[in-house]
Order: sequence, then structure tokens, then C-alpha cells
Amino acid sequence: MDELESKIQPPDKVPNTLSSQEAARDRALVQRAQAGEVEAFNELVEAYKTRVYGVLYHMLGNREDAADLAQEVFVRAFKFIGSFRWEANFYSWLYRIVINTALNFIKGRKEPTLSLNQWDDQVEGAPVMQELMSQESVHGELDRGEIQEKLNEALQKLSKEHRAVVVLHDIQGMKHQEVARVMGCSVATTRSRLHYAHQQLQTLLAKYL
Amino acid sequence: MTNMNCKKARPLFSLLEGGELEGQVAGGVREHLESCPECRGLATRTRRVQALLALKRHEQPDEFYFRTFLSGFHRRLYADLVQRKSLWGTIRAAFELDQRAGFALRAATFCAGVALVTLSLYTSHLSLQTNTEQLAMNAADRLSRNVARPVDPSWSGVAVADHRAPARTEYVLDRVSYSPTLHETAVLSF
Repeated sequence: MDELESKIQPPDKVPNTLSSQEAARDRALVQRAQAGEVEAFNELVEAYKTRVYGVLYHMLGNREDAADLAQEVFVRAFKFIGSFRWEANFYSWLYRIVINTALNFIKGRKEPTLSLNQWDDQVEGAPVMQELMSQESVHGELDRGEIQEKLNEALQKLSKEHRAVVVLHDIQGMKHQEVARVMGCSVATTRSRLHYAHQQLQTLLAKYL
Repeated sequence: MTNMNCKKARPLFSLLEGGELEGQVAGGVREHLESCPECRGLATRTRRVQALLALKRHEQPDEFYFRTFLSGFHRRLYADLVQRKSLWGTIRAAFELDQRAGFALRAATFCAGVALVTLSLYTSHLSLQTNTEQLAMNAADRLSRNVARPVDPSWSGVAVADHRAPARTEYVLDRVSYSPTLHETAVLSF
């Protein structure tokens, strides 16, 4: 297993679990927002806007739709924050609104249209990217644009539920229990959906594996 | 864990990779991977897929986008609160209907309203007609009873009650054959 592990670099871990400081900050802000303080809600928007946008973008594959829906998510959160009773942390509650908004949007749209954000420069340093760029495809060396497009096409081919667990776990870095809480299902269901999604992606991205 | 097989181990690869598996289960999966080349290959490919997916974290929006996010949110919130003041806006928001669905709902509600009004008018018309007929029948009945009619039993063969003479009240004792002799009890016969 050690030999195996040394061959493949693990993906970068995004720290997406709340620290106790962040949890305390959220609690204070939510209580103030529930009391009617708009400024407190603005702070919550500033704290979570990037993550909310990120989930929507990865779910929809379209930056314009993601931008539109991200604001819609916060409008809904503002309207329903009065009924939030700390059954889970605010972060999980907000993510549930994000996922439900994305799933409803996907259900209503006819054909997905990819509209991708640019990769930042840090992507060049990712080990898997370096390995891919050095491979030769049938038509010559792979370029970043092709890899990005194929990756997003593959993700859009998953069903919306499978895509959601992949986005939350593999891209957002959430643990299985958190994903299960956000999706409103059991950990076992999350696990089996993730496994199935990985199998499908392996088939769709076989050329790059 | 000796009872780990391919079917049980495969869904656990991502958990093992993420450090979410511990103790015996983690040990069992590792043991299985060492002994099963097929699962080892699958685990490798799964890690590659996860590494590719992690590249998506580098897809970032335009820097300008997040500068105007808060103001955009407030504009949208204001528009939403203003729209909700209308009844149809509230219903549409509650059921998350798009414009076409909202129009269909309005049309259906209008048709249902028209049908309801028509039905209630028809029902009240029927009931009015019935009441009128009933009143007419009652009046005719009263009139027929108050008019004096000659009684000729041979003609009709039916004994017709003489409404001119007041009816005699009948008592139960009229039917009783009573022998008013001492020490005799009345014999009741009907």
C-alpha cells in the first residue's frame, strides 16, 4: 500500500470543515441576523459567497447561471433565516439551500451549456496536471483547454444526485458525514453514490487515467 | 478484518483516501488491496479521478464578480420583496413556478372560478323552481280541501268522508266491549 501511495499524489485537501472559531463567528452573526440586523447577514454573505458560488458553478458547469443562482441562494437564506433552529451548523444549512437550488434549476433546464471559468496559474503546479500535459494523445499533446472541457463534460454527464456528492466530497472537500447531512441521506447512500460516480467518471475519463 | 471482499472494499476506497476510515475496517481494506490486483487498479484509478476533480478548485470567476456580489444580492432581495406583495407573486414564489407555469395556474384558477359560479347559479335556479312548484301544489291542495263536494257513495263506490260534519273523536274505550256487571272485568276486544 505504501508503494501504491507513493505513485499517486493525493489531491490537495481543501479545509472545508469549520473551525471552532468560525463556528462561534457564525453563531453570533446568525443570532444578530435573526434579530433583524442586516449588517450581520452581510457579513455571512461575504464569508460564504465564494464557496456558494463554487458549488453552484461545479454543479451547473455554467458561470453565468452560477452567478445568478448564488445571489438567489442568499436571498432564500435571508428569507428563511428566522426559521433556522440550529439543528445543524449554519454552514450545512446553507449548503443544503445551495444543493436544493442547484437540483431544482437542473431539473428545469433543457440542455446544459458549458461556460467555464479560467483556471488560475496554480493549476500548472498540480502533479496530475503536469503528468497529463506530458502525455501524448492521439492528436498530439493535450492542452489545458481540452482537459478542462473533457473534465466538465464528464461531470455534467453524471446524474444530478451523483454530481452533487462528487462536487461536495471531491471538489469542496467535505467529509462523508457532512455530505450526507447536506444531501439529507444516509452516509451509506452517500458512499454508494460516490463509488458509482467514480466508476462512471473512470469510464468517461479513461483516456486521461 | 478477514471478511473483506471486493464488493465491500470498493465503496470504502474514497473513505480510506480521505482518512475517514479507522481501526479494523481501514486495516481490512488495506489488506484486501494488497491481495487483490483488480481492486488495487481500481483504487489507483479512483485516486486519479479524484486528483482530476480537484483541479476544478482552480477554476475561478472573474475578480470583478465578487466585488459587486453584495450589491447585486441586495438589489435582488429588494426586487423579490417588492414582487412578493402581489398574491400571484407570493404563490409563484411559494411553489417556485416559472412564468409559464404561473400563467397556466392563473388560467386554471379562472376557469375553476367560472365553473363554480355557473354551478352555484344553476343549483339555486333549480332549488327556486322546486320551491315554486311546491308552493303551487300546496295552494292547490288547500283549495281542493276547502271546496264542498256532494257525496254520493253509490256513484263512487267509495265512502267519502263528510267534511261538513265535525269528526267524532274516537276513544279506545269505544272499541272495548264492556259489560258493566258487578264482579266482571271488561273484556277488551279490538
